[in-house]
Amino acid sequence: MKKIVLFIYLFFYSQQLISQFKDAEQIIDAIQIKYDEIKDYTATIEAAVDLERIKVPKMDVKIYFKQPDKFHIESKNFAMIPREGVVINPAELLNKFNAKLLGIEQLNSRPVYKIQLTPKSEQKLISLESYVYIDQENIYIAKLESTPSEGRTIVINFSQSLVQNKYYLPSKIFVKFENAETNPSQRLPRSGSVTISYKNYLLNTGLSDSLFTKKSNNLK
Amino acid sequence: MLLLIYFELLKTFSKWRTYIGFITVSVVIPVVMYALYYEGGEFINAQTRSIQKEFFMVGNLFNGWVIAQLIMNSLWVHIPFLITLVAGDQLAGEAASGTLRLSLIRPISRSKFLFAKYFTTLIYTALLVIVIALLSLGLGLYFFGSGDLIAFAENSITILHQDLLLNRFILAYALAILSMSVVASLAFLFSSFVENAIGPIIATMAVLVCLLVISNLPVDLFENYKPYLFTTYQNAWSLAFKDILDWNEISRAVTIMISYLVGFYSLTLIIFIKKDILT
Repeated sequence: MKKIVLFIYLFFYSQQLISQFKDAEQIIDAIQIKYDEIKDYTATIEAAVDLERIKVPKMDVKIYFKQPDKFHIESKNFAMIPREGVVINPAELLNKFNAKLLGIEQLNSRPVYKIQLTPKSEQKLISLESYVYIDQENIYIAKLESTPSEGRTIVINFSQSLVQNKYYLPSKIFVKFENAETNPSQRLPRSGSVTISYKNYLLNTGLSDSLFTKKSNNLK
Repeated sequence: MLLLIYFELLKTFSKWRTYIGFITVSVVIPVVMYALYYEGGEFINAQTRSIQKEFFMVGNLFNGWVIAQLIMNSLWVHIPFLITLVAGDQLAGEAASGTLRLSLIRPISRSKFLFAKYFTTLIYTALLVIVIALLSLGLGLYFFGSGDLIAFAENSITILHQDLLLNRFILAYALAILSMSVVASLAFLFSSFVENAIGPIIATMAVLVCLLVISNLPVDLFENYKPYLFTTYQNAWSLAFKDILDWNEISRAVTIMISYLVGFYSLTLIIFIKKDILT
């Protein structure tokens, strides 16, 4: 009996939580509002790559970001940083995908909104299906699952920490590439992982646009 | 003995054919560099295109180290020919010009005479590889700058930090000198059979091509023999560009190559001592 009561309570509680936001767009818009408050940031990142058929030493990289989508990486040595996950622009998510709220799940003992993303245009097929998990309490992206058209799966887990007691920004990103098929003739790594640790955030320092014009890696 | 080696070096370096190798690499390497400079590293983009789909790649991968490794990769098949030009001429050339019998009239043993010639051949071989190293790395680093090394091997890619590269290249060139010395020793052996330098050059290249084909054929029949063929270790220098140096593999390659060096030289010594020298 207690279990039934608990189930009913949890059901209504979760519905109530969902009802804080009517739909997925509202949740992503809420992230966007927080995201827009960060005009620019600089951070140093350490990246460790463990990919099939690719041996890369640990990398120390400085990244620069400026709204809306300017992105620049600097490194004394060679570095390879996953295109997905390093900077996610919520507005871009809504531009490229239709978002549908599926419900609330537990992720690392925390409630998260699970949102399904389906590409808007089949011409620009980015991935067959994607799921984004958003921390319910602090409204940040906690996980992203993506299945690109090549049949690979990319899972990105975000550990976020509070910067300047105001903004949640990634402290660690773990990107995992998985693939059922193996084609040894291809140079593209089919499976493996990349761990990225962020340090020394500097926020809203007024980065110059000229920084992003030199051989920059602007988000596309 | 040192004086004997000195005389042999004088004889070797007074011949035009000795400089063919040096002139060739001095022309080819700058031309390759110019072509790569003109092309602008597109080959690296082509090799990494699939990775760039999912990763931002930063850093100078089109640098002097990469160029030097690329040149090494493309030349190791052709360098043996330049080496046999000199090694194959060491004994046969003297026999052909009629100076061999005259030289051996002097009060030195045949074994000392042979060793001086062999050592000179090895010095030439080492010098040629060192000139390739200096030209490749010197011009490469001057024109293309420094950076990390991207090493392509079969279906894998290894990035080596630039701090490691000087030592890795020294090891690579040392292994290249050793593998080229085996080729020189084979040509030197053939040179003891005949009295015409063309024969040893052609015979060495013929043996090399045959064994290289066997070493690279993915056929089960040859698998048991491959570890014992010196041509299997012809590109042993590439072991220096692995992520973690496999000292067991390097030691095995060095042991096999030194065994061939000793074997070829011993055989040459036996033939040369017993040979009835008529010219």
